[in-house]
Amino acid sequence: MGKFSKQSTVSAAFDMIFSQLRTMALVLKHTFTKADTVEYPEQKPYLAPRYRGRIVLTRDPDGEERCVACNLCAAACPVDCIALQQTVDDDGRKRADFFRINFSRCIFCGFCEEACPTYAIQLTPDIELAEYDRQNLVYEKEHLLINGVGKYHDYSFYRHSGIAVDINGERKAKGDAQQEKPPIDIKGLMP
Amino acid sequence: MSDDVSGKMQNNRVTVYIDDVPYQLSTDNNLLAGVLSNKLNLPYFCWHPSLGSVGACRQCAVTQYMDENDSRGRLVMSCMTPVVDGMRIGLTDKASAKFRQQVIAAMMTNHPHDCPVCAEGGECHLQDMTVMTGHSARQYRGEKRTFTNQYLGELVGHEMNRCITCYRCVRFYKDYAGGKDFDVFGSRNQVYFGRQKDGVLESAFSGNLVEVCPTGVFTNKLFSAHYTRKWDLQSAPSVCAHCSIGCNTSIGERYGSVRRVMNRYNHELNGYFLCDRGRFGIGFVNSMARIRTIKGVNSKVGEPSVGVFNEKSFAKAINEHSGESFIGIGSARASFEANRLLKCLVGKENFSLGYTNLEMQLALRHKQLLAQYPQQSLTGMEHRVHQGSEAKEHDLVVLIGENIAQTAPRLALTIKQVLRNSARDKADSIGVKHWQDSAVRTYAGNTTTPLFSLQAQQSEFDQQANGALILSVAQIITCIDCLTAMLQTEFNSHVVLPLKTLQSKTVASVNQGGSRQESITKDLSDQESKFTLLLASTLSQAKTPLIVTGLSLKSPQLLHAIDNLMSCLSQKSHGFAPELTVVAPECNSVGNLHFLNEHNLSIEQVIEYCSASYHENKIPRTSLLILEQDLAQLSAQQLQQLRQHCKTMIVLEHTNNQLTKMADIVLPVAAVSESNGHFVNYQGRLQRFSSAHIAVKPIMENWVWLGLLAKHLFTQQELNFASLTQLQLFFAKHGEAWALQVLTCQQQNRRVARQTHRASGRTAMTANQSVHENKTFLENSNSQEGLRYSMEGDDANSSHNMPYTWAPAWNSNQAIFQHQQEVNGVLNHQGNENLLNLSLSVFFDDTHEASVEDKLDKLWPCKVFKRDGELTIIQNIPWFLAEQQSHNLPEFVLMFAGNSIEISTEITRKNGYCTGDILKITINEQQMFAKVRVNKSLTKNVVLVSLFDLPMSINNLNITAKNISKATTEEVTVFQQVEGDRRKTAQQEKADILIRLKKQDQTVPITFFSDESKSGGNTNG
Repeated sequence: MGKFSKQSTVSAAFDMIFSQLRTMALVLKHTFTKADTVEYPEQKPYLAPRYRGRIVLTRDPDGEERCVACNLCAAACPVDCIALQQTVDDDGRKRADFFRINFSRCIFCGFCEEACPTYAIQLTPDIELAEYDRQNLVYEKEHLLINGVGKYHDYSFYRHSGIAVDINGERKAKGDAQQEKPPIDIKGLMP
Repeated sequence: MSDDVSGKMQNNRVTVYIDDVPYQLSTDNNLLAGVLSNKLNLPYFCWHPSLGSVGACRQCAVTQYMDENDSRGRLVMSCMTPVVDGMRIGLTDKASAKFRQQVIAAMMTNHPHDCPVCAEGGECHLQDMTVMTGHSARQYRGEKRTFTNQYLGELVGHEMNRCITCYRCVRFYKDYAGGKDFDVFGSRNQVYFGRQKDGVLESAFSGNLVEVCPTGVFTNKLFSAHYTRKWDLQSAPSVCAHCSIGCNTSIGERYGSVRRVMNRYNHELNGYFLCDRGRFGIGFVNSMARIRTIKGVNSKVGEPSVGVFNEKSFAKAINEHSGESFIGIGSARASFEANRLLKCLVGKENFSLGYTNLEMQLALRHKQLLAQYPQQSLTGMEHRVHQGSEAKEHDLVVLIGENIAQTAPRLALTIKQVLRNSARDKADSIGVKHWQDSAVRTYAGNTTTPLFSLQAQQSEFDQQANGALILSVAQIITCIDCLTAMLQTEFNSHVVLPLKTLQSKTVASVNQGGSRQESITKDLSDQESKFTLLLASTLSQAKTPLIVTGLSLKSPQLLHAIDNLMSCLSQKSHGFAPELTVVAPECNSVGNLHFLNEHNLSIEQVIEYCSASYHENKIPRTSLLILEQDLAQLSAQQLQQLRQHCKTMIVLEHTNNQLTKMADIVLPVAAVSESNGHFVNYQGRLQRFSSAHIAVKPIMENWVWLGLLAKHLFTQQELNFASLTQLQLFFAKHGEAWALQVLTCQQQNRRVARQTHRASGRTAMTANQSVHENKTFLENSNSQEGLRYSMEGDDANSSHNMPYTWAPAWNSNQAIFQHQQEVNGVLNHQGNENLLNLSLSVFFDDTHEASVEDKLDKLWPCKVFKRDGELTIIQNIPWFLAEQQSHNLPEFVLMFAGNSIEISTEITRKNGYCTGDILKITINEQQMFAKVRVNKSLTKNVVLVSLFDLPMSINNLNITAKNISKATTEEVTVFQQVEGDRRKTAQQEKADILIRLKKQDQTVPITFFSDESKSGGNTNG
């Protein structure tokens, strides 16, 4: 806050005026350039397929639920927001009796997807999860399960595993899975 | 016992250099056990601390060096290598590490891609070992070998693809547990473990396959049906409530329902194994027959609203009965504390244990035996670690009048190991160590310790026995009396006769007549006298005979005879240490003996008392307060009388039974998985059981209900305790020794977490009910009990009451070695043995006035008519139904082959019955039907029955021949229908239970606990 000399006062005034003019020029210029702002929600931003948003449960290429309710996602979850219960159905498949994600707790870290041995649980590029009522952020299995394979198109866990299940209504018996020999005849006499 | 075993072990320690670090290893066991005892991680599969070594899997390879200059060394299998002083081995060297990794890699070539759907996942020894060796990627690109599975019954599932051929299953099932229907088939890489064909596993120990198998070939079917991972289970240290052995168990809970029971290591009792009744029987807590609401108290309280209990309206309703005088009936199924509290509540002159006159006599005889002869622990019998000079192994086993395979299966498993003592000794004589399992069995395969069996029914031990007789109870008693007399003469002459001399002498004496021996054996048949002579001569030479008997035949005379035999044996000179084991009928029977004295009321006296007050119109009228008791031994008429003559019948019970049907008020009591307390096992050991989860109101613990009744019905406010510890403190203040013992044992500052540190779903499992998280794991209700309903708290292993078994890198139950002082030793934080002091009153002083027998008969007269043509009913129900609670498990009902009756050829001939006929049997005025099987080895007046509706407490009952008759055609149809219906109902119930449990998963009752302070009131301190 020193004293202003006459000259410096003049140059300061000049700078101020110049700055104002420059700003006005820039504003004028931007009036004619394309806006960076996306008109959300009318306009959606691009999110990569591997973006970590809303969690879904996918189906295998045969249209069956991929989730075998192994509990690995729940164990990996750092905020413990996944709860599920396994059940065994008559077709030999294990499924989730209930599968619940509390999205009000979820931090979208993607650990569940990493832990999933069957590519069932996947994070999607959907980020629109706002609710007025927190209770609506609790997703049950019917809200999570989609009719598609998600990011992994070919994988079917039961075609690799050794247990006998129905695939497309047909029995996949022992030895029918990929990379499996037919069952051993334990009463055979050959050495 | 544990102290001198471990004390001896100290002496055999030598220094072994592991990776150039000196460690102290015991020479009593192999190198692997020594390495593990020092808490070092060394992978293994086929070795098992209890089964020994066979060297089948090659996984535990280590490098052994000649001396400190040797840098190459050689690979040895540590489980097959004895510990030598100064030996140098390498665990982390490249050669052995690579070898171990390759072994896993080879196993993995055929192991299926199943882990996500495998019930073993998360507690799989194979997973742990794979991670431990560092094998991470399967390089083999060939096809995998597959097998078809077998149906092994309702309890154990089979998934043979997962097998890694460690042979543990067959070594446990066939070699250790003596099962005959399970074996190994095939050759080379096609080895198959299973039965010859599909079918139910016969052994009572098949459930152990689940724990013994290092991977998921054998799985717990009941657990798999409603599965959860081990890391998600909320577990609590508990005690099995299905027999008197008191095996330690770990009960696992998830989403408010009990999922499974696993073995909890107890060095003194169960070790590593449980029986199937204990493992699977816990299912009764989830059964449809459970009582979940209050019945009979006015509608406001009684309405079946789950999770709510209104104390005020309960108090108002119960207050109507405050003018009545109550008789309390305790039970051997309820905890020690609850019985004590009940006795305190009603006063000692109004307290009954629900025993009949006969059972009172029996119990007092039992108490007399226990007071004189300390009972060995199972480990004490077995001497698994059996070196050193002091601890003597049993060289003779005599089973008298108790089918232990039926009443206490875990004891039967121990006896099977005791019988191998002489085989071990034989092998030891040529330098083969006891842990060389395969070598011992090859060298001394058929050698067994002498065994004699004197039973009222056939048992699995008969074939192994040197002598086995099936007799009526009266004959058994005569035999024992003769035996005692023989031994008495023998000992008096101070000459120990070798077997042959004795035999020839007696044979001679029998021939010549007039000799002493003959006069002794004159009451016996030829067969019996031969048996008795043989047993007498073997007994007189044995150093440490083990006599096993029990109460299931309901004969005080038998116990008296055994008492005489024992006192005769104990007279024998120094160095002779006979041991007696008495199997009690229920999990807390011995605890009840503490309350038992000559002033207790028998149930007949209770009936009399009620009738008297009813007929004389006494005021106050007599009412009954019944604690977890079904009085199944009473006849229908007696029950009716009891019901009619008592004013009010208040029943505290967890499962529906005949009393809950006729009671005025039924209060739902927490079952063993939901409650806390102590059971006293057959030895008198006070063992704490803790709740795995809080019961859903109005179900409450028995002592809580009794406390509420004390407050509102008996106006004894001081008996309404806020916690079990306060209850114990109360009794401790009144100078009761047991309470002090219990409290000192419990003293620990630590608060152990019931959940694992990996427990999942905390913020989601109740989110469907409310997204706002409750303070779910309310602590104050249980604040003094040392365990928390949370994942926060101390490690499971910080006390010896471990809720579950886990150690870093060891997720399966094999982790237990990390918490033992050494392999097969006691647990790290093991406290003192907590034995109940059973002191006898002057009543048992024989010199005092009359003999005990007369005094007993005078107090509790029980008429035993003995007429010709009379038949004795002996219980032959299979082990899984030989206890009342397990009747409620549908899987056990499905395993039951149907009502059957075994009769001797003599009766068959006389009445023209033949195998396959349906007979009508009338027992206690109740008609039952059963299929006949003719049994040639039975004596003429014994009838073996296996009837679903006949409770185990009715045994050795005399009936007349009239009570058995051929069923009419209509009755046969009814019988077949009943049998079919039972199966159908069980199937239906199995499905219903699963549906109910799944529904319960969605309404996790934990949310209700937060209301505890408002509604319960009493548990908050």
